[in-house]
Amino acid sequence: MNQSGQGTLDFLLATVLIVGTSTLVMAITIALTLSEVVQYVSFSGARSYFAADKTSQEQELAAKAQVEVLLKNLPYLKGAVESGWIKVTPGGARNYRDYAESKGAVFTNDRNQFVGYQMTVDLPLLSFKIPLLGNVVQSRSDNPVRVTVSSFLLREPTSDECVRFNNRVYEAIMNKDVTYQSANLKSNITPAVFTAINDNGC
Amino acid sequence: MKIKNNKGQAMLEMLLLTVLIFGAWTGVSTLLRNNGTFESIFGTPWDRLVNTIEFGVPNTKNNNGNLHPAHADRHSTRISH
Repeated sequence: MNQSGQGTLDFLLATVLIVGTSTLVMAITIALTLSEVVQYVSFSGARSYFAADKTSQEQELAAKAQVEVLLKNLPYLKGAVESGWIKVTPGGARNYRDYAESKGAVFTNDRNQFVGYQMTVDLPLLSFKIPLLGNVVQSRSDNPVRVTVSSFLLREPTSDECVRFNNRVYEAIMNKDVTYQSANLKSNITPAVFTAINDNGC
Repeated sequence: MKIKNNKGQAMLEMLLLTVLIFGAWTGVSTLLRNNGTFESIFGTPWDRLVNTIEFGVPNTKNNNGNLHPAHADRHSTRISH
């Protein structure tokens, strides 16, 4: 019997499987690398959000600007976004207590450290089928494959918040004892002209 | 009956074997696809990876909020309650 085609047939079948699994390994490697890069972007956004500013809106804008710059200019990430391998949806900088609670976190006091930057990452890169074997991770959980990346670094108080805080401290001192109010009158200073001066934060 | 010409025998067997092998291959691959075998091989580790990225814990649960490093219970200066 002529068996000269046997090797070619085996080769073809093996090639399909090997190329499929090699592509899968490569895709997972790229996906994990990209998620690390996005992790850095969220960290950078959280760091910009952390720094004190006049108002919290300006802190949010600082984070937004930083993330936009990185998403547009980071060489590896930029190419992956443009080619559709990865889709990054910035969630913005804010208090993410609602996110934590939606994920089962229980808060027994007011302490909340879920403050920072978060972004959602879709990985169409992994939504492919391997010939003869089927889906990789497509329909198992999310479709497309989705990862939530967060950096919770908290936030420094703004200068506006510091002024409000110092004003409240002043009022609390004035209301604590009449003695303080009389001292205030003696020095000819009234609450109306009190001005809080912040020295490098609250 | 005496078969005088055996020339087509090998070809016939080859055809039957090819149909058998391809049929078995297709059946197995359909079974793997329908049962999501490959997805479970790579999907479960992927779920663990996603939870590691999101919460820092390599499990497959959906509610890991209390295990996030930002949660007070996971913090070194946690408040007892």
